[in-house]
Amino acid sequence: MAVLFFALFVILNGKITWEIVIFGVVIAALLYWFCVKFLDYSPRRELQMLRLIPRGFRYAWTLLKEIIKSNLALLPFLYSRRKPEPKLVSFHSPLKSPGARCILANSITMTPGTITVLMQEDGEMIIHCLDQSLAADIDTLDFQTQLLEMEKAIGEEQKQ
Amino acid sequence: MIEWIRFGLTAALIAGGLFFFLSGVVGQYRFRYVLNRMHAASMGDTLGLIMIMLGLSISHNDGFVIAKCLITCLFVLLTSPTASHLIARLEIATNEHPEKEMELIRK
Repeated sequence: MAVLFFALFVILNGKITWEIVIFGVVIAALLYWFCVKFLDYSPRRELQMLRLIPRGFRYAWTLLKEIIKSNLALLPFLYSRRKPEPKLVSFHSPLKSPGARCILANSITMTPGTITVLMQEDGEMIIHCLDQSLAADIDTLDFQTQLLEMEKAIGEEQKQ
Repeated sequence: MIEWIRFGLTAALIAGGLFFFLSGVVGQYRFRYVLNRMHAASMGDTLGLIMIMLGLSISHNDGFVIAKCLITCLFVLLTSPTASHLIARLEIATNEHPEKEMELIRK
């Protein structure tokens, strides 16, 4: 996380000089100390997260493909006489951790055509879909399968 | 030659992004219900923004500009669904007869 803070500081500055690097290191270290002290960050958990980076990239690629597909799927409703048939779909997500559920809910909202309306503690999710065609496979999304795999990987590492 | 290819790619990506933003605006007039309109609005926030940022990155071809475009995309993609979720939740919580606007399905 400290590396990310430092990278963000340098990128927002737009150039690299000794002054920026020294200030960046000090500010990143202070922010990281604050995160560990008050926001429950731990270096051990971050090392676990580092191993998920390849899966994260795979997830981002799937998300990008889904965003493109759903944007194109929405165009006929805007530029033709086809009328949408909105649905409010409720389904149970098998994801356990709040973080994974949050990522799933955000990904569903990010793809146009579906919006997460409600996410309950027990994994029950209520999704608004613009049309029946977009609601068909909402409970068997590729996002969910990939997040389940990541959750499993973290669980196995914690056991070791 | 490479300059022309870069110019063509940039122009195509920015025009594509603007088309998706325009589609979002068309959707605001085409749909009548707030949740349906939100689907149209999210088109610009997602693919529209990604295409414009990709176009800008290609046109500038500078590491810092590419990184800034990437960060802009990342922050908008992280925050925009959260705001959409809150608006959708408010609509469902305050609408007394949601079944008039949409069909309820349980999977």
